[in-house]
Order: sequence, then C-alpha cells, then structure tokens
Amino acid sequence: MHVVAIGQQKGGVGKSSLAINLACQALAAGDASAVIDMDAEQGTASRWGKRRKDAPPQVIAADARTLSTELGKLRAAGVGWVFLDLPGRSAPIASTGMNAADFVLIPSRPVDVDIEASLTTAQGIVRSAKPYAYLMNVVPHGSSQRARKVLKVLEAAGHAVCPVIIQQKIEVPDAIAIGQGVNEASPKSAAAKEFTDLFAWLGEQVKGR
Amino acid sequence: MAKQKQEHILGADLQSALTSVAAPRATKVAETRGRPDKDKVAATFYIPRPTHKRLKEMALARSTSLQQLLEEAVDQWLQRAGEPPFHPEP
Repeated sequence: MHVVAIGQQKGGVGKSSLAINLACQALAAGDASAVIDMDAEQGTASRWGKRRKDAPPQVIAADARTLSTELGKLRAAGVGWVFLDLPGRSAPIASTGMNAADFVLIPSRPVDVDIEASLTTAQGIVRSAKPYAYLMNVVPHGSSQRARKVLKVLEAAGHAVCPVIIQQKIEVPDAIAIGQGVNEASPKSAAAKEFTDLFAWLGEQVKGR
Repeated sequence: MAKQKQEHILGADLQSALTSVAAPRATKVAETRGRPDKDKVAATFYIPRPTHKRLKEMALARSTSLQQLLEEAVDQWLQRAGEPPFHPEP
C-alpha cells in the first residue's frame, strides 16, 4: 500500500483537491484507494466523501491518535493507495501524517508566500529523510513559465520537484462540488490530463517502496 | 524607451533559506582531500557556515576541491596586490 501525504503549512494551495483527485486517478487505474482527512477544521475531503455517498474511494477522518489504526484497516482491506490530506498549519497531526507516509508532496503556487510557508514543512521532511517533492499546484493562467522557473530555483537549492504542473482550472472545484474527481466530471479536459500525468509520475516515485 | 519589468522569481533571502533547508547533496570525496601536498602546511581560518557551504558547492560545481578553489582565489588576490602568486607561470 502506498501512503502519500500532501502537506504544506499554508492553506489555499489545493491540498484537499490533490488528495481527492489523486485518489480518483488511482481508482481509474484499477487500484482501491482512500483519502484520509486529517484536517478536521476544514473537512473539505470529508464533505466531498459525503456528497459521493457510498462510492469509492473511501474518505475517512483521522487524527494523530487514530491514523495508525485506520491505515492498518485499509492495508488489511487491500487498498493500494492512501492519500493523507494534512492540515494547513504546523501541528503534531501533520508530523504524524508525514511520518506515516512513503512519500510527501508539497503543493505550492509559484509565489514567495507559499514557498516561504513551506519551509517548516520541508525542513521536517528533510530531517526525517522522507522522499518528497515540491509540486506547482493551482498555478494561475499564464504563469506556467514562472512555475517552471520556480521549480528550477527549488531544484538548484537541492529540493526534489515534480515536473508536472497543475494549472488552476475551474473544472477541478466544479467536480469536487458534485462529489467527483475531475477525471470523472470532465474526463477529456486538460485538468484531467494533468492529474493523470501527476498520478503516473507519483507511481514512478513510489515504485518498489 | 519603455523599461521592461523584470520578472520576480523568489527573493534572494528565500532562495538562501531554501538551500539551508534542503538536505546536503551527496558529495564525492575530492582527490585532494586531506593533506594535499607534503610541502604544504595546514592553515585554519573561520568563515560563516553558509559561506563554507556555498564554497563547497562551488567547488563541486567546478569538479574541484575546496582546497584548490581557495588556492586559486588567494592566487588571484596575490596577483592583484602585485605579489608573486602561489603557482607562478612556468
């Protein structure tokens, strides 16, 4: 079972949206998947799960105390992918989630405030020697070049980066609003293609772990 | 002539913070590590940790050692000061 944590201290960088859409991508690839909502204050993933009713992927709320048990249950049930939606603040719960993960994605927009806010997260991950990568997420229209330049800066500073850039597209929140992933609501959209590419890249990163 | 607006890609302080947060890169052992030459003596001087890290990175980027890099720097400074260099031209 692959456990991927999506962590970044800053809110509004698309953590829940990533967890949801990656879980939907895993489903489309034929793997059972789940989202663990560790951000009780926001509860975006949990609300999405309710809109989805009983359809997979499973969405479970967990905290630092219950995470290990929930992961054990999912492993026993043969789930292939678990995406941890971590809270947008520095908290013990975020550290617990990162420690339980095989890989951590740090979503950020290509702006200083997001990267600044990610430093504490990155420092914690580096200290734990956990594999991770920065992901340029919810990149505003017309800013892909800038996102690529930011990735180069991050890479030059010694950080791992994801080459797939996720643009800000209205199809993504619209799909979430109706309890779907963008690959289900708008399968032919550019947004769906980006998540497919991201999931394929992630598969390469966790292969053999 | 209209001035072209320069694109801002992360501030210098932030770039520096990113470097200090990243895991140290795997470093290959420089060939001249340790006592590089029997005719030389060790000299110790203290520099800030980030400067040391930057110099090590520069040395790696140039496929050389910190020893070599500093020798070259001192050589150039000696020449500019009108002093004979470490390694006079043959």
